[in-house]
Amino acid sequence: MNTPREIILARHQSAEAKLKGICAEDLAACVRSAAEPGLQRPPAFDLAAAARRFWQDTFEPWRRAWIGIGAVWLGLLVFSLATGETPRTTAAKPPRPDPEALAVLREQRQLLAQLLGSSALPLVSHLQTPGPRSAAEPPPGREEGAGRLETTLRAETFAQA
Amino acid sequence: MPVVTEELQLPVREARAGEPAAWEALLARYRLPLYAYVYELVHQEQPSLDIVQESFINAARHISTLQRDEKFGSWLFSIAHQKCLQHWRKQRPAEMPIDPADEDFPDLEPGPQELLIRREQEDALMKQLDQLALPQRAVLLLHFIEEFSLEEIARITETPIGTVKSRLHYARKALKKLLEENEA
Repeated sequence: MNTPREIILARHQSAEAKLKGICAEDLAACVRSAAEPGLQRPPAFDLAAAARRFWQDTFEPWRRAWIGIGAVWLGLLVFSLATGETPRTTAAKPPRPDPEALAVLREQRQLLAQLLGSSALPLVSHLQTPGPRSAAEPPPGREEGAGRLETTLRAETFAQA
Repeated sequence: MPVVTEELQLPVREARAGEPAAWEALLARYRLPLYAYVYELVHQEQPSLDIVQESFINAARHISTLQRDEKFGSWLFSIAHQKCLQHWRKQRPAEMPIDPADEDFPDLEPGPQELLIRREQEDALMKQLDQLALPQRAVLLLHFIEEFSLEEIARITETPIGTVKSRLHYARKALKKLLEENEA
């Protein structure tokens, strides 16, 4: 019983003599010559082949995915153009004050100034902030030690009572 | 069918170093199966001989690029397969066969291989093989001659593994049908 392999090889057995013409020495010489760096030609850059390879490696395996992404992008583009929306890349500006409100405010300020009797509202910045009490001068007519005498007299009055 | 296991002993490393004895061993192992494969695709003696020789020369020139020594066989067959396609394109571009069933197929059925062995219809097998479309014939030959795995056949023929499965399935089915018709 013969296997398909044996059947096929037996059919071509007659070619064996011709195939022996392929010389092992020549093949070994090919290997050695290819290994010598001086004999190796630098591979020429083929733009068409590179483009084809890029296409085959990048697009061919995921053709459907790329088509899907392209369709979605196209749909978004069409929708964007149809609605006339522009991307909001600039920061939102603060809203302008209403001119009517400004006029009312101005009127109210003028009215307040008239009521207070001056053309302008007094500024708070001219008021002096009080310093430490120790630095403050005693009121006129009162000398140093007067406080202490007053306290002593009050104590004596209380003892007599 | 006996499993082809000689790859383990093949002197690929020595061949890489440029030893003539190693190349002699590789030639002895592969020249006839490679010729049988090429001839069954090309059907012309001299071009087949040329393709085998060119394949070995290419292999010798580029053996440094071969990463796994145990894959030498499938690598050599892939070189020859490409040369066969080039030959086909040059000779009969209009008649480049198109595979009728390039689609994924779940699993391989037990085919007519065992049937063939029993019947010993050697001539019939070869005749029926010739009637198959080229892609199916190539897949079946690789399967028969070297018992390459589906992955290896896919690499040799540069087709997806699902396509290889499908082609092998349809080739076996077609072969079985032809043999049954022949028997009837």
